[in-house]
Amino acid sequence: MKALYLLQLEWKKYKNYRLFQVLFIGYLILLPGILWSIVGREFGAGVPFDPVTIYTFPDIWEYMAYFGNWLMFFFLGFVGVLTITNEHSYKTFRQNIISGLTRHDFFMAKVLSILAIILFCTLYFILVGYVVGSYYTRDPQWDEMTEHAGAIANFALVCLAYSVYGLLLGVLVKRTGFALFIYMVAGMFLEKIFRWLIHKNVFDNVSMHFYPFNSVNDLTPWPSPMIRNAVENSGMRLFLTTGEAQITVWIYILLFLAFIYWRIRKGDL
Amino acid sequence: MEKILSIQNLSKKYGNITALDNLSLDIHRGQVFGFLGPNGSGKTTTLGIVLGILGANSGGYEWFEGKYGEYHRRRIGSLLETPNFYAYLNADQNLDIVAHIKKSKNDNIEEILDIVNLKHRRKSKFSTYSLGMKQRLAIASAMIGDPDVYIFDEPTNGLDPEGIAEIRSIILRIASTGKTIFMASHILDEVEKVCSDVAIIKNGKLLATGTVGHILNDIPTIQVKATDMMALENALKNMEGLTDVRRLGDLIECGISPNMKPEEVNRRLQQQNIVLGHLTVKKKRLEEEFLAITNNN
Repeated sequence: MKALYLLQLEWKKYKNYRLFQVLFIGYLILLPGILWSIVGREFGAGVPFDPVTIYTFPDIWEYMAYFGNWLMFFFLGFVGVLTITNEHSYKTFRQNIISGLTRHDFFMAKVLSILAIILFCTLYFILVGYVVGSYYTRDPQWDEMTEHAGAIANFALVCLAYSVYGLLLGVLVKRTGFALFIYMVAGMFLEKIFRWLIHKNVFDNVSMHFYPFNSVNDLTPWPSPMIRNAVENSGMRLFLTTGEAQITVWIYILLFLAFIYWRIRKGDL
Repeated sequence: MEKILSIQNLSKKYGNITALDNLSLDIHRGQVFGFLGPNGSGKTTTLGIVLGILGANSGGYEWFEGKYGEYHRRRIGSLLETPNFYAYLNADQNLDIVAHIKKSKNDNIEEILDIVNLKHRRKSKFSTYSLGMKQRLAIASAMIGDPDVYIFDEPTNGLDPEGIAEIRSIILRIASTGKTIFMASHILDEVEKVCSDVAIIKNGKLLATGTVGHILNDIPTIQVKATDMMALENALKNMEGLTDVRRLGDLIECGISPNMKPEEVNRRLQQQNIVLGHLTVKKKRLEEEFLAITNNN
């Protein structure tokens, strides 16, 4: 009941928030849109994979998880940032506490609403994969449909990770525009610069792959094994294994959530 | 009488600055309690701590004698500094959120908005409101759940005279229903007009507390004048029962203790061959008392 009370509270706050509506609609359109934009296209002889596998079982799940990773970096990362920074910029975090919410409840409301959004996004992911895959796969069998369905769980973990990273940036930076900017710069450039220019030159070690955004990227790598094999045959290690990525991402999620909880519980408002 | 709020030895520092210094205060059911002090004296810090948005370095507080645990704030209606609402939501939607947090199901939002004169703008987004409207919505929000206790922090800050009058009349209306009100203000007139009790704070220290009537009535002053002002001043300074003798233009003013009568002062001065050309008895107004208390500390 408490969970429902907190979820209803977040729903009342954000159901009329235009930016969230745009982000949700964007996700709903773009996820199937990416698949449909590929259907029937010719990629030329140089492309080292068969484009048909992108929208047919069993590889559709892994390709969708790969595309979904990019979408979620923006969509759920932004939701994570905004859900905290809005409360700071409108000073409604403070007002919620004054009105009677406990800080623990405030934290739980954010986490539960993120989990509800992830559940929705994952169910939609399954629906799109099922519909598109069933339509374009000739005579699909259950075994074939579920062969790479583990990618669904990885996609859900991707969603959770980006949301929590967003929440963390929101808690640390507080100002919406600046927090979104830092989130994007950190995810798209800073971490890569740090890994490849600083870490590699100071301490050239496999640990350079265990960074927050990189480990999330490696949860859903490009499914075609040809690229991965080519790189690894050359003696380089570019990717974490799925197991390594899962453990690393869970560690970051738990650490960041613990930090967010501590900040929400302790800080002056 | 039930203690609504008990503050014990509350201290708060911001770096090297002491915002609150061992503050203790009790507020009882039914009091309309003014919390008076100059800007930066620690009023908002005190309210922030007891409302759970600031942490204290030491000391503690208890609401409702501990009856409602950590959910005590649901029973308090508060307006702390600026009104804070979701800018993209309208009045109805914002009040619905407050009602949800307070788990209050029986509010008549329409009636509340009518009381604060916002019914006609209930469907407008908060971001389109004037400061006075925002402040009135904040009071409406404080009324959600029909709380027994209201906290107002500088409720008329930044408002025009019409807005000030409106807010004061709403607060007086709430006070007339027997609710407990704890109102911080640096505007003496406001406290004098609204409150039954007052605490005076400066530099984080509690300087005085009591009923407004006590502070107003118990310390009368006299203003006197004579031909030889020097002799008069010396005589007053040496007279028992008089305090704080000081020049006030061409008059001399001093405090007079309750057991000393003005005619006794006149008689004693005559014994010293000082004939008064002017003697008035004055009850100190809160403003003068406030200045006297804060200047002496």
